[in-house]
Amino acid sequence: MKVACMVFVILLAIFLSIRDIPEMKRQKSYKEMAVYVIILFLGVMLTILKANGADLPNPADVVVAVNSPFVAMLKGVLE
Amino acid sequence: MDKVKINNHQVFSLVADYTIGTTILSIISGVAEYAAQDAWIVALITPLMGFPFLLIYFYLAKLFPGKTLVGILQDVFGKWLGTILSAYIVFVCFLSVSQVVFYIGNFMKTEYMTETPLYAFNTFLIIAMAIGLMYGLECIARTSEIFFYIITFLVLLVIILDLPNVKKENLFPVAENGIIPILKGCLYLNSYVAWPLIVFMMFCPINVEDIQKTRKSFFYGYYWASFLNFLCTIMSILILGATITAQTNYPTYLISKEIDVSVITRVEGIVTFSWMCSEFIKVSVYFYAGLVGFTQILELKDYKKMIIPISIVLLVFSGVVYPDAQYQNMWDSTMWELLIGFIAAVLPITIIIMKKIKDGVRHIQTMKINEKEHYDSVQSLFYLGLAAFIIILSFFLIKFLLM
Repeated sequence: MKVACMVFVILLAIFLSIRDIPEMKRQKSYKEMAVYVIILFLGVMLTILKANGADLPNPADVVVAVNSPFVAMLKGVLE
Repeated sequence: MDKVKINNHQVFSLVADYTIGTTILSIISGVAEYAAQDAWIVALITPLMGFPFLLIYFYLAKLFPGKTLVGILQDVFGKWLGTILSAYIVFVCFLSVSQVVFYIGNFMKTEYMTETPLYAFNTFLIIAMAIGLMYGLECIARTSEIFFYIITFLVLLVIILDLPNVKKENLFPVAENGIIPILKGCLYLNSYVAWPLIVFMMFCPINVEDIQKTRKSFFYGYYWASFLNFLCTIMSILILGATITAQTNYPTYLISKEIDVSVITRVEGIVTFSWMCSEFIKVSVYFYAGLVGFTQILELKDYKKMIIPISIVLLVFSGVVYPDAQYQNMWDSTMWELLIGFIAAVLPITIIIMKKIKDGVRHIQTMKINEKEHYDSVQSLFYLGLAAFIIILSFFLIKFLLM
């Protein structure tokens, strides 16, 4: 299951790159290409890490960190 | 400007489906936790509480014609702060996609297929959503028109079939603990019903012909969803009682299990189906709003190429966002209220005040040219001071009342 998942994601990424990147190159939209490649790479890396059982950081913790001062302030209203 | 335009009825059904999702199945128990048997009063008066905020959003769209929330923020707060704030909103949109997808996967895993891994459900939902968005917003909007009738019919069917199980002593005593628990429940429900509609401001101004003409259908969708939510809440309270409603995760699902009318039994699949439909629309709207904001921040040409890479990332995070039930409880009861309260209540009011101050300053700068303009600016500053005073006063009043 682990190997199948990794192989599937890598094949998907290769397929997408073959399909989309030449078109972007033709349109000379290099910024779009950079964003595309970075996010695709991020997705593949995260999938491989998660498939191997790594503890990924929770993105919701960013919001918790930003909002935690206000939680103490408004405790009476929220609970 | 985007070429894709959606009409009034599509806005109506999008708003209705978007508001029904999550609310109808899992939020009712949270409301019952605050207000016990008065949850139906909460569901009745919350639409009225949320209404001024919707008016504020439409006033915002009137002040900045043809601009989305990202454009408005960059216009008012300047390039840097505006970009940071809009990046925060886009981040929240993507985070909500992961969370709603987790909700559906978790529901299927706990109620139907306990042996299947969570990612199996999430993957199928994300694939469906990605395909839908690759076809564009008009595809999602048309889907929501069909789904709207399905959802309405099925929910009303469940309500009608459940009528024989009603025990009316569950409703009493009314307002046992005073008004405060009801107000807290209102705040909680408001953060799931009215405030998330700020997400529509991310794409609606460029995707409809005239935003002011959609106002009526927007409100109708909001009120219809609130009405269905009210029906489900009062039926949960009437059939299950306040204690069980507060303790179970999915009260509406539980009341549909209670149906026993001659040969019609075990129709809980109906509720699951209608809930899945509305959640699909909810996820798509969140994702589309996030994508539009993302492309506007980075000044990309088209969002369609970014769909699959971003959905891979979101799929991975859909299993990470809620590590355990305790975290989920903490997030849903306190964090989400604060988060959406900042984005949907504090931020729009701040934007309007900033805009008025800027206009006032501009008036004063051109004061020497025309005396009448000077008078107008002084008057508008006076009104501004009055508004700020009232806001501060009401804040202290709320704090004093609830402490």
